[in-house]
Amino acid sequence: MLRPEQKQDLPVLRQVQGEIPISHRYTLGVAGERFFKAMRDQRQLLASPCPKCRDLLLPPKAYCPRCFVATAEAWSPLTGPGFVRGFTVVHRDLDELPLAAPEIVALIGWPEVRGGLVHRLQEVEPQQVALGMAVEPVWATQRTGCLADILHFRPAANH
Amino acid sequence: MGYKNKVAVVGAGLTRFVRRALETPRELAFAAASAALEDAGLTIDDIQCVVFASASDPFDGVHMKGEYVADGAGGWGKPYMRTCLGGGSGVMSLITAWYHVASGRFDTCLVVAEEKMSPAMPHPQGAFNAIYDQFIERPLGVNLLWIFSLEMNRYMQAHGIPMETFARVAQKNKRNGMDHPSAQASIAGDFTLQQILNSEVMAWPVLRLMVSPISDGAGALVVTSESFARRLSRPPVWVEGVGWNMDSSYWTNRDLAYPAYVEKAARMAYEMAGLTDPRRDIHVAEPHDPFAYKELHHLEGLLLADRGQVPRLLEQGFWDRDTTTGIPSSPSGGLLGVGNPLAASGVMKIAEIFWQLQGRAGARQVRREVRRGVAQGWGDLMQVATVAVLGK
Repeated sequence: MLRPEQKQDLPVLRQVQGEIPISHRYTLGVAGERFFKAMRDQRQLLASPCPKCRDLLLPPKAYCPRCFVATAEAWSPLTGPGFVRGFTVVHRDLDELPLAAPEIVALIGWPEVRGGLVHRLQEVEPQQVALGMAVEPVWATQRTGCLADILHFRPAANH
Repeated sequence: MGYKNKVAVVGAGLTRFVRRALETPRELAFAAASAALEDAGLTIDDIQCVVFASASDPFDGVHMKGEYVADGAGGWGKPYMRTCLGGGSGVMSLITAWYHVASGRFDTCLVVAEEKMSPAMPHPQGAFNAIYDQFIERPLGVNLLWIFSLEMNRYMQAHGIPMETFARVAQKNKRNGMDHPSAQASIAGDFTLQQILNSEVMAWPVLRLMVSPISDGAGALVVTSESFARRLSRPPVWVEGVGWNMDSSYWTNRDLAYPAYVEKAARMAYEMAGLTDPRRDIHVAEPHDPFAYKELHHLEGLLLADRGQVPRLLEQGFWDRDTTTGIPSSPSGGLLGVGNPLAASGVMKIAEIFWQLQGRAGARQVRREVRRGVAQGWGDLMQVATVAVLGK
């Protein structure tokens, strides 16, 4: 009979290494193709309008989940800055190891859209972040059409 | 047994089945759900609850996939649940919808089944490998075909069935699939028996053209109470009986030559539907056919033929779509002829019975008169059967 403290004891409990032997390649989808292409080619964030409720959806979707109709063909680029609707300061990584420096992660909304984006917030100290703070994306020079085309968000220049 | 509501299917919709879809799982679900609502003449506002089905998270590569897909399945702000029995999920999703509505708690339920197998690299087999025992079987490098090849060979040996018989099943279904608008490119077609028999050996005796493909796709159904269905313009198709059953998930403990659990599920559904002679009372069948031999196996389990007698009937054209005296089997083209996005292919089979009973199957419409049909799902760890009897 094993004592509870022995249950983590590898020499006592024989174990077999294993994995589910697959990795994944995800297609971006109808909406995702268009969203990420506009980020890559125009440095634009696009939102898709619902023809029924008139809401602009971000990230854009091919359909409005609430009205359950296809979104309109004409998508709108976001113009002004986004605003911090929530934030956290992350100290540990995916494996619970300490980060070299804490990172600010913010939930960013735009006044005209339903939804928003979660991204890193930099060029600002955690103590200076406040709800409602205006922020703007910092674009990568080399863009491939993925989330990393935005390096991070930072406080907006003119706010 | 008393049920509060008699339950009807009033709409069905499918995406095209493809090898690699651009659409995300959510977008596939939305396309199928929208098509089913349109088919029923309803909108999302008419739907009181949603049942989602998917066989497996690792194919799409999204953990808790039911929750991920929910808003594309019309589940936004509604009572929503996922049902999961592997390849049996599609038919089980109708059964789950049936008890949502039969209970009297809901008048309408949207059923959505979606599977996107293409993201799994290098092959979805990697996920199937992990359904086997970690210590006893996985060290052998097992893939899913092992179980089918062992089972098919047992079935062949038990009844002395030649390979040509299985080639005929594949030929029939792939021909039927040519008339299905959802059929996956290059899956349906007019193949000669020789072409099928000459296709490569996957795990003997399972040959390439006797196996359903890797597929992406979605399917949806609208299910309602009798009172709701009576208000719609088209005559409803009733869910007359449902049954499901599980055998041991350990393959050495099953009778591989005969799927007894299919018989148990079928008897449960037939009894509920009040059928005493399924060979007389069932007029069209959609048995689960991911492999050619499984169609025959399942027709026996569904009690539509005596054990070992399905091949003889096949030779006589008893299961052909244009039979006037037999029971057309897989008039849709089945998984061999349309494709096999696992859970969605079960919904495709129910949709086929629904359209056949409403006389709306177009070029696939069977010649004989049909008042009642059976759809059957199978899968999970190859030991589950799900059966639905639909009638008009």
